[in-house]
Amino acid sequence: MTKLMLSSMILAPLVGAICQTVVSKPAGARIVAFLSSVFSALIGVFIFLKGVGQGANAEAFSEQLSWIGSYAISYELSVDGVSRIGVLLISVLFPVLLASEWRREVAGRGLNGLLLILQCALLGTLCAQDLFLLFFFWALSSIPTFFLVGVWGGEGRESAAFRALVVSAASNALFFGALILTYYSRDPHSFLIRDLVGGQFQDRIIQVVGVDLSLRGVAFTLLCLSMALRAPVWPLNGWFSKLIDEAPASVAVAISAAGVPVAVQTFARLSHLLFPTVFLDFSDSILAVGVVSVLVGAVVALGQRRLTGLFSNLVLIQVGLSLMALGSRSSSAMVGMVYQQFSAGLALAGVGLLFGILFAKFPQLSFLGKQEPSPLAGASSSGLVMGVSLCALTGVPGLSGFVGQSLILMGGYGRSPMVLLLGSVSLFLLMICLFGIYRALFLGARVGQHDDEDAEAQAHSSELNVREKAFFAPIIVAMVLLGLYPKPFLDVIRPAAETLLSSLSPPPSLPAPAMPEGSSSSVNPEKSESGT
Amino acid sequence: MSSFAQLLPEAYLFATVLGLILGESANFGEKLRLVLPTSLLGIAGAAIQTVLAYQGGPAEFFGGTIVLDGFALFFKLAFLVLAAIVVCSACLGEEIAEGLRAEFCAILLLGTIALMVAASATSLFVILIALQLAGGCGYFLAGFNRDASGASKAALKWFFCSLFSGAFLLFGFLALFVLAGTANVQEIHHQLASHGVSSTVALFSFAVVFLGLSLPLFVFPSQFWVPEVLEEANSPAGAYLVLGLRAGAFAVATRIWVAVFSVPGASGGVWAPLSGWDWTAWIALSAGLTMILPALLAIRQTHAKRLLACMAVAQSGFLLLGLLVLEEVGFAAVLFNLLVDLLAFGGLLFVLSLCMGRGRSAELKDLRGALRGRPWEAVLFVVFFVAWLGIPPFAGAIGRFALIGAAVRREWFTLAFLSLLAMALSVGAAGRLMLSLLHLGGELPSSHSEGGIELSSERRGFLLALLIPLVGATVFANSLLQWAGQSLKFIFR
Repeated sequence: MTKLMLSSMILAPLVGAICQTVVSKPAGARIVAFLSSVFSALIGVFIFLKGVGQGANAEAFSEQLSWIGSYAISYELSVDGVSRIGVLLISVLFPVLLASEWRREVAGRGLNGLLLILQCALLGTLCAQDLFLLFFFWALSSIPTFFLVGVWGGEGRESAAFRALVVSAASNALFFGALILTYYSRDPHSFLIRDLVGGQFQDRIIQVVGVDLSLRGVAFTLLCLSMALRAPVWPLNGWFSKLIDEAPASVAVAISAAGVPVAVQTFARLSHLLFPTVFLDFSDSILAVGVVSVLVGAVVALGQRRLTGLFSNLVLIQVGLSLMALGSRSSSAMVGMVYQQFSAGLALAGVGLLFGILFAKFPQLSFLGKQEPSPLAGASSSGLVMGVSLCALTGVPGLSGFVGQSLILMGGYGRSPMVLLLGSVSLFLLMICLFGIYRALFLGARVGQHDDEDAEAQAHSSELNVREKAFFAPIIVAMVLLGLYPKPFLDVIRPAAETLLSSLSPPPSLPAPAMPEGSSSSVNPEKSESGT
Repeated sequence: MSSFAQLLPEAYLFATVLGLILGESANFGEKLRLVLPTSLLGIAGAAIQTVLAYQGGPAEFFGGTIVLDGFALFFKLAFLVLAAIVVCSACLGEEIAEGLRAEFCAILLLGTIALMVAASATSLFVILIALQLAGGCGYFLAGFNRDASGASKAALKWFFCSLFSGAFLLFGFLALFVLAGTANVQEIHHQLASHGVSSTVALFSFAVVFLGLSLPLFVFPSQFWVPEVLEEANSPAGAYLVLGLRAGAFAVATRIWVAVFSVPGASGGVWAPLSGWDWTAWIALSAGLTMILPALLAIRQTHAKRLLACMAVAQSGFLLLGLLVLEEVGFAAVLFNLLVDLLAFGGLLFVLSLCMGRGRSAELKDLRGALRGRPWEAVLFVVFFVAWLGIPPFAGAIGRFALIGAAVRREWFTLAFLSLLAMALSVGAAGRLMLSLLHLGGELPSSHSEGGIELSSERRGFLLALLIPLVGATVFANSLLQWAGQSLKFIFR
């Protein structure tokens, strides 16, 4: 029964997307889109549940099929604890995103179809165990993003979509380069990640434009640059801010809350498994980029006057936290990173979708001054969604963000106390910013409060309707539950995270790779773990 | 007599040409014209006869002037598929007037015959004549819309380019003939390999032949004509030039460069340049510049056809990557890519021609929103474009990997780097065209009110006939690559 589970999960949205061109009535097409996404989501939830309480022995749902034998490319899928969380996140988010677009009148079928293709591509990226297959899905995910923004975006959509396309094309090209170098470095050539684990391919000197370079170093650098372009990392995040400015709310959420975590997870998986020695050399730099991204995100968020600008900085902060965790090379930080991605994904979905709804009702909405009246003041349902989401993002105890952020900062402290200090300061700044905004939007004076009829109309329109409440409900419940009882999730993540970290230590059967002086003391994750 | 029997596929096509001309001469204004079914029947008959002719395995005819090996079989079938695609594009599209379609198809089939002969010829002079004939047909096809002033200009440009190409090829072939005393490529190879040749003479003959072939190959330094001609030529003629003439030139280049200027290496499926002088460095330079220059130019283009032409030139650079590695893997990758291009570019040009309609400009600003509210056409256009560019999830990505991988295997890292850069630039350029066509908001240009595109069931069927094998090529890429690899088995005896 579980044989084709992963394929069904990945391909169901694709079938739904194809149906969008075939089903003639828009209402029917909408239902087909939603059902295909829900079908995939149910399988995703089932796969997650099968991993709960199983530890390292959880079923991997492996599937293997030779695809292009001439190049040793195979269709191989499986899941581990880390990708299980990613699968669950996508499974929760995409039906919600499709539900949020239920009433779209202009070209709704196209938008739903593209969201489904994005869902398929992201799920495929998480589950692929063959590098070529992984690239296949990963590059596929850039196509719907381009059209979703370019066709359904705001006034400046063409420019934003074009930038995004150029960036993702460059990113894909870099990834493709890393993949080809890795493939041809192993004899016999292989794309299977399990064949390449531990950097089991020859390192040699290659000449590019007359310059001698280490093959592993080049491949790892290409991978880093590729991922830095797709997940917004300071200072390469300009295109992302523009994209979020112009994207419709559901698309912004899909990219930020699902696409970015998938990019980070893919980077974590490939960098640990394929380039352990180079990763160790670069881990300080990764940590530094993470800390700077969090700090810059928090400071810039303080000065934002646009909700979309704030949103893109929230994403930058989340990516920064993930990089801090990766650079820390600690088990708790790694577990925290995966947990935080899930938690932040939900919170960003809550904030992003609510922004979308509010913008549709109040197009001129921005951060008003403290003294100025707000059309949202006193809105209970939207205030609740925004409040819970912002609290989760800032790591308020009792909500999901607290667990992930604490684990990351604890892991970072093991590496350097400065990480904890700078991380905490950044999150504190973020908290000031977000609660200030919340106060201005929801707790101030209401627009037209001296005019009874006007005030009543404003109050009514600022509340969520039943459909909106229905798609926010699972997000809010999940954020609260994750904050109160994180154990099942942590149990699923921990074995896979530790396996990833253990790949940084040289296997006993192989001679230890040459390490630069001074770095050997920090190779062993157990050692750094002891600091926590 | 048996030699003539092997030319039956070409004879089928020629009979079809005669049938079309007779049918058109006997036409007295009847509404029902059978141009499309007649042409497709002729092409199908030729395809069946080609496969039947190969039943006995590879063979030589006319004293070794023509061979029917796996390589020739591959290209003959590819040219027949191309002919079917172009015939359908011409008859189902808007660009060729109904009364002129028979004439157009007749010229196209003549060009196809020439290309089939070029792919199976081993005599230098037969190759030259066949290529010139194919180029001549390209001239007539490019200038087919005689009412449009641009068409005549395009035809004239191509005519001069074709003349230059012929002159260089003649010069280079004569040099080889004088050197070896024979015009047969295999005998020339034996002569050069056994008696040796001074590197200056070999270098000269290679350079002249390369210059002659660089025009129909669309590669540096002679790629400049392509955007000029494709911008003005009608779309079916563009498909013939890009997919037919270029593929024919690649078939000839593979045969000549490998059979004349290379020697088999120590291990099977690998060759090395003749006489120790490495001409692959020239090809590498040409490949690098062919990929990167047009990709840069494509970014700034405002005319859809020019943009596609620039990208087609960049594709030729990628194909050169497969040739210069002198390995069976690389050659197989070239053949695979040519097949994918056939389906993807054919579909792409057809949808674009539908967007343009009759007499409409292909400027991006005029095409803005042409696919708005047309999900079928939009999806097909994007799929064909994505496949042609080599972006996952279609077979083009596998082909592109095979080509760049071939360069990496031979440690041409700089070229591999340039190819990745060119790929990224091409995607950026393609994005502009796609966004223009899908433009959703804002005002549309007034030209859109003058009859938009209409996707009839025949047109939809044609596009599906291109889409299904394209998807099949992705799923069954391995079988296709193996077939392409086997097609190279008998070429170098």
